[in-house]
Amino acid sequence: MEMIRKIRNHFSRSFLLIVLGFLFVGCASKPLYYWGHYEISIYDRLAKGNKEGPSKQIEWLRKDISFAQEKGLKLPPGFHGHLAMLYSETGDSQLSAEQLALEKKLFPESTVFIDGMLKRSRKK
Amino acid sequence: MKIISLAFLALGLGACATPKDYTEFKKEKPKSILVLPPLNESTEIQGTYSFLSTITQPIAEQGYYVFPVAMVDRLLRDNGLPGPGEMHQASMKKIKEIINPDAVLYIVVNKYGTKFQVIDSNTTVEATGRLVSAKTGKILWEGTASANHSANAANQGGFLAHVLNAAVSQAINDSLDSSREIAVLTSNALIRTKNQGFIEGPYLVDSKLKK
Repeated sequence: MEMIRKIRNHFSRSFLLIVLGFLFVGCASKPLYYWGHYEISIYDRLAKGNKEGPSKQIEWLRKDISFAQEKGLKLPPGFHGHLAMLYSETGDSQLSAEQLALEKKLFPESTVFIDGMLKRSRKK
Repeated sequence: MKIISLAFLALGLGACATPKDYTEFKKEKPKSILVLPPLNESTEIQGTYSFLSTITQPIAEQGYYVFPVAMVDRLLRDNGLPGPGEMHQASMKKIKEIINPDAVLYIVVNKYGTKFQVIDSNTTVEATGRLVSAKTGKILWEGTASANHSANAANQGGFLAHVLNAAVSQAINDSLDSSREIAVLTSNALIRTKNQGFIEGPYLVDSKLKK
């Protein structure tokens, strides 16, 4: 009896997990983007007091770019803008501008925001 | 050696039996979403930014453009808004002028963190979101979600517990990092639960058409 109860328990829990999985993803569709370290970088920077710092975070994101290129994956909205900010903090204004341009090219919804950032960074 | 096992994982999807009213959301069809740093009503000081670091993924995977959240945070601070409280008060006119989103998502983190009891611990993350049109100021969507994770010191869960552990709490060594894992579940539940979260955005719709 104990055995049966256990098995039944496992089955119902597995079932629950599968249901939860479907709830999250809607259905088992492929992700639109490769996320790499983008949100981890946000977490480190804002929630952990920038423990790793911009240079380390740039290193993470550059690796993500190589990986995505290699595998033919798309990087998510905000990724290049975020990297642009990190470059501006390490003084690489040319690389920063390139990343801003890339964000705008990939996601034209960001045009007003990115143009404003470019304008302000030129003023500095 | 004590193995921390996952006793259960519960998702509180609130009173979610009835589908939401998506009339305004469908009428407006926003493409780009600005997420402001959440107001934090929990006792955990990192609730705001830890939660913020989980919200881009579900919204973007649901098919929307999400402005880079850390960059927006810095921009608003540089413009004299020192924290989420002030940012949530910013006028829509000003937000449109400098960022120009179709809609703004205002989040309140209601609960964030771990309660330690004698033999087990309980981590809960609960958040409420309100999506407001930048064009009309109308509320397009509102929702609440929470996720919960209980762990205890006895290994009673067997195989399934190990699977869950591997999937859910890779970083359980630090209760803060493990809270973030729960925040990831909350964010996903908030945005992507069918008939409760966001309707499918343009990038998701396009990708399905291409198939």
